[in-house]
Amino acid sequence: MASDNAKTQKPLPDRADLDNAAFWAATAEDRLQVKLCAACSRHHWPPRLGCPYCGSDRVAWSAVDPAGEVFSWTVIYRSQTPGFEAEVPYAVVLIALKSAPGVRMVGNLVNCALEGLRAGLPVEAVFTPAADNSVKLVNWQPTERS
Amino acid sequence: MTVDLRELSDKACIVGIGQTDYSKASGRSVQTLALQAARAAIADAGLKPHDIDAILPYILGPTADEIASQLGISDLRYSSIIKMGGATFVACLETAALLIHNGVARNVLVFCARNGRSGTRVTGRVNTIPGQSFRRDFESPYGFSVPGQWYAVLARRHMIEFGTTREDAGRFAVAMRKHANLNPAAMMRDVPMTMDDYMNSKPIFEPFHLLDCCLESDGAGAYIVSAAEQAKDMPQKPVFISGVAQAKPTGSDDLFNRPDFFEIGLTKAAPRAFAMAGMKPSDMDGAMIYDCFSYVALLEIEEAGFCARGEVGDFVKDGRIELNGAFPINPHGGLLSEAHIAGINHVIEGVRQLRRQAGARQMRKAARLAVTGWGDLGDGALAVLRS
Ligand SMILES: [Zn+2]
Repeated sequence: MASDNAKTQKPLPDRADLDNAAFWAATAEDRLQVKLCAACSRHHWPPRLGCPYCGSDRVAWSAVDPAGEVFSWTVIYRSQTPGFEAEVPYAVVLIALKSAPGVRMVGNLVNCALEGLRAGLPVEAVFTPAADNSVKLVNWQPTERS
Repeated sequence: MTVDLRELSDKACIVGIGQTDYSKASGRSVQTLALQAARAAIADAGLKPHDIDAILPYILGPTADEIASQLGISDLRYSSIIKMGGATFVACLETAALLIHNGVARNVLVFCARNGRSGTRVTGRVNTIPGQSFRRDFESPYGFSVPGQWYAVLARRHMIEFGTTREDAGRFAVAMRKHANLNPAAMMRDVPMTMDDYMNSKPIFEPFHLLDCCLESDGAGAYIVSAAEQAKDMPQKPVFISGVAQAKPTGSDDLFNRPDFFEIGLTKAAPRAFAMAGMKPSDMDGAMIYDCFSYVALLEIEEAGFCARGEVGDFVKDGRIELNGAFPINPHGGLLSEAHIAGINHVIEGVRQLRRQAGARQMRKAARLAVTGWGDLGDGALAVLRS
């Protein structure tokens, strides 16, 4: 049985994950990184140890401009994630990054009414500290100068 | 060297099917459910348990060892888990046909048993989804943690790009319910549903509302595959596996970063399965489409080749997919209104229709049917079955 804590606390990334830890080190400094392949010059996401396009192992973290546009979304009225029950309805957005074609990232929509959601809405990353301050998550808000 | 799949066409048949009752609370263990469905399928095939020499179990639930031991099978020559999520039970038709055609086994038992409502519900089953570290680190922290939420994002994009509407998905959901109302085994047999009911149902993961979502069910299903040569002397009219293929979509450890956003396993598996059968989608009399969510079924209809991408809204109009329409889909009521037995119930229904044993929901013409599966992050499989 899960403890009461596990039922009410939002899940957090595992910062000890050897393959993903560098991502959180960057978000701690308000920087966004994805993987870039030195062989075919394509960005990819989520971060793999080999390039999903050409198979090269010459992939490395690379900083990208934390801006993009809304590609798709869902508005969640019935959450099945611990700690999110009180937040419904909330939007999970899929963001197409402007500076890394083909990369689409998941996050929450913040500082925007749900009615304002539309495809193509320009957004920028917001680096949001988790409740326990152990890590900064990447959320998205409408770009002010759009 | 690549195998010419045409050589495998029509070499194996589904010779037995079995199922339990489908309910919200079976009151029995999954072992009991599995054995009941397996014994029913073995008896339907006119076989004895010791005739079974290969078992393909589901990734969740009783194992091959447990079932073989409790059926008195003393020489299990082959068993393995085909990990394709909800596409597993269509993909298992391919494995079974390969085993039989290559002389590895003679009679293959495939089964699924779950207390999916009273026992382990969906949140307890997502730990078999690929890319667990991606799910844990880049999705769950945002309150995004179950398949319906992920697939809703695909559906929203389909609405954006192609103008697909809630009414389109509603036509699918309402057709499933009409069918279930004709099916005495369906969980929703006595519960009618109108388009108004559909439109007014509560939002769950927009654009998915409650009546877009599959049931969660307790129950089990099983089928037996044997050689076509042997099938002609067995009690039931054989159902031939004319074509079958499984495929993973590009980057099957993530749903959202495919170069072609709508590519799924079916996009690749369907043409291979139809080529193996020497048939086209338009040769089918109808289809069993894996409908974990109504919108997912719409995506599959397109990628399986029954209409062009973006045109499924037109395809489901005017009752086409209903029992008396030009292209009936899921006369049993599907996962939406019969039960969620991970799609093994779609294979079973296909067999029943081809044998003309479907009672009040029997399709007028059912000589060639397609059965699809969808699993995890878009895994896909398609089988072409014929009588
Ligand atoms: Zn590359």
